Amino acid sequence: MNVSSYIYGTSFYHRFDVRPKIIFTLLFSAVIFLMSSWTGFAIAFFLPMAIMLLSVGIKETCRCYLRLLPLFLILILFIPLQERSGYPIWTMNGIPVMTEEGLWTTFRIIARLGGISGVLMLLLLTERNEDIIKGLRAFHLPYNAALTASMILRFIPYLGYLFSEIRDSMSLRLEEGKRGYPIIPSITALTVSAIRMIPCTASALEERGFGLRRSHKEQHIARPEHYFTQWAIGVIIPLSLLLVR
Amino acid sequence: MADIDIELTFKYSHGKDVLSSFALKAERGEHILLLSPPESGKTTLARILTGSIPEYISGDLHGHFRFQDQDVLQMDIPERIKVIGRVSQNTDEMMLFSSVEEEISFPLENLGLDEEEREKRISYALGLFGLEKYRKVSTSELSGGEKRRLMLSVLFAVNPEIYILDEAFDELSPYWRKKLREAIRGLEHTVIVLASHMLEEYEGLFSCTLSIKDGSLEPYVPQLFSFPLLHLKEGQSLLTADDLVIKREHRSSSEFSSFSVTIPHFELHEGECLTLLGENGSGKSSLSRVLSGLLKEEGGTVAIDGNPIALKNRRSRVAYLMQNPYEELFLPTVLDEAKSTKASSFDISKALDLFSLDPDDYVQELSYGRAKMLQAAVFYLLDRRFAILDEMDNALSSDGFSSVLQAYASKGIGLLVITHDMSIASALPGRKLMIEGGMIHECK
Repeated sequence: MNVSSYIYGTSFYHRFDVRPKIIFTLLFSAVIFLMSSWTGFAIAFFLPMAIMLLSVGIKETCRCYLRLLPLFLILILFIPLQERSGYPIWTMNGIPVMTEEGLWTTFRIIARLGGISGVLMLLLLTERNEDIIKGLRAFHLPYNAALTASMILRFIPYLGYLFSEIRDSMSLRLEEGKRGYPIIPSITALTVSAIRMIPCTASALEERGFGLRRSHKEQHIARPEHYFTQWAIGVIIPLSLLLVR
Repeated sequence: MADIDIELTFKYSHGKDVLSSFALKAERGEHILLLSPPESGKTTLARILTGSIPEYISGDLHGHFRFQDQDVLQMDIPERIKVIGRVSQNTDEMMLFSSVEEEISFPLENLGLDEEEREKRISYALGLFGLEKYRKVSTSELSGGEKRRLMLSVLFAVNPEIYILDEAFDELSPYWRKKLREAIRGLEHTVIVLASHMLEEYEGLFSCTLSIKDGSLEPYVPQLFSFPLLHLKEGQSLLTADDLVIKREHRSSSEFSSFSVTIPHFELHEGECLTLLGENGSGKSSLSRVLSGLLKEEGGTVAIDGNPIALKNRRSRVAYLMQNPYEELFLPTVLDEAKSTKASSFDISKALDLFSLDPDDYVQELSYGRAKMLQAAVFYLLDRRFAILDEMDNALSSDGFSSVLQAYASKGIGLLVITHDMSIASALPGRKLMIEGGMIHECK
């Protein structure tokens, strides 16, 4: 799983200490599930995007969100299956294709998925893996749990990377004059590769001694300037989203 | 009693016999070369010894592996780290972390080493394989050869009693092959190098050379191999690139942000064989990606028969056989991969015969070398006019590699062969190009 999303930078979010950044990420992800208004969902979707734009620029932001686009498209394609008994806003031969409730459910899922993925990607784009582990360890998480958590966090961008690899590989096989790539075989290949990756990663971890009963000392992380202000921002911004009606 | 005593019989659960009465006895500090063709069981052996087989890939394993007084097969995989370690043929499957430093530091932390000792070993290993400046760089930004050097650094930092180097010389440039040779020579620990073909760097390095035949170990019988003359078929088409500027960014580090290659003029004729040489990370694969439409150039044009050709259209004109075959093989079986080319059943069966492939084999169970043959078969069936073979000779026997070249040449395909093996480069016909210091030039 040799993929890293970290981009070197000196933006304000890069300078944020990893501990308040982790808290911001977790609180933001949790608060998204407590929201219920259109405005709240719009903020949840666009706020990480705005911070990302300021931190890593437009090119990287587009690259990140374009990776989510196939998932959004799949969700949109499934709109006809959502809330079929709701108020129809589009019918075809008398059969409801889209209902008001179905559209709202899809919008809610997209906003949550986009918001959570965005804030997670933001963490991965601005922190190195080892610093995330150090940050998690600062919350007294056992070393193995911190390592596992950091690897799970990297799993989503890894799938994106793997998908682009598969797409490239498939596009090299296209007939002349044709463009694009076969979607179903690509998704199948992605699923197979993702499943195969689990034993491979586990084996590589064990071969490097993961699981030896050693005590991993907690590493002290120095407190940066404005540390308490960073904590306040990390907690207040996500919680204030609860006030949005 | 010998320090190392291995006796193994192994059969995969899907029925394939790999090792039968395999027996190896060696003394501590011996350096052994195990030279045999792909699919003979070298990687399986390495995986059994380090423990990933049968823990993660099931099979029927019998026998023992003793190192001094320890019964290694009875030890948990993590406990084996002090006894044995390996550099995998497929470096990507062993990469776990997001920076070079973290990759080396992880096993050292697991060994319980203090910070000072860890730092000492990390600096030593980085220095040994020239990776000091890549310390904070993301592993995904390294070239194939640099990844191989990183995996070697990890192993040398851990410094187990037995080093298993699975085709570890492959993907390294002649300079780094020489460095690895020196590093092995200086080791007092046991080293077992697994290889599919003879390299001049192996000469005088090993106390014995063995081979695996029908699952058992036997003395290696040197075979004289001279690279057969390629029968090239001239064609009409011409792939050119002018004023090409290629940039690759190191996004993860501030120390050096990008590398760039400038190519004033490049041409490859249909039916020609062109060899491309250069250091690890010099830009050979980046150039290949640009020519095959997988990477956008910063400047310049790529044209076929004088007509500039857009990025995506290059993909259906130029075949690119990547360094790591698993980056291009994703379908379940060999037959599925072949069928994805939309070739006729007759052509598929002919090609599978030509590349000695079984249509029912599962792709993920193929050896690295066999996966390379499948990769070659897929692009052979696609019938492109130009093909880039990126270090195709790695992990293939000399026979296997020359048969791939011959198959492509007989179709009149224009070949760009990237290699680090100077004996292959000198045996191939045609021009030789070298990328050095961001520029390309012809070798006289």
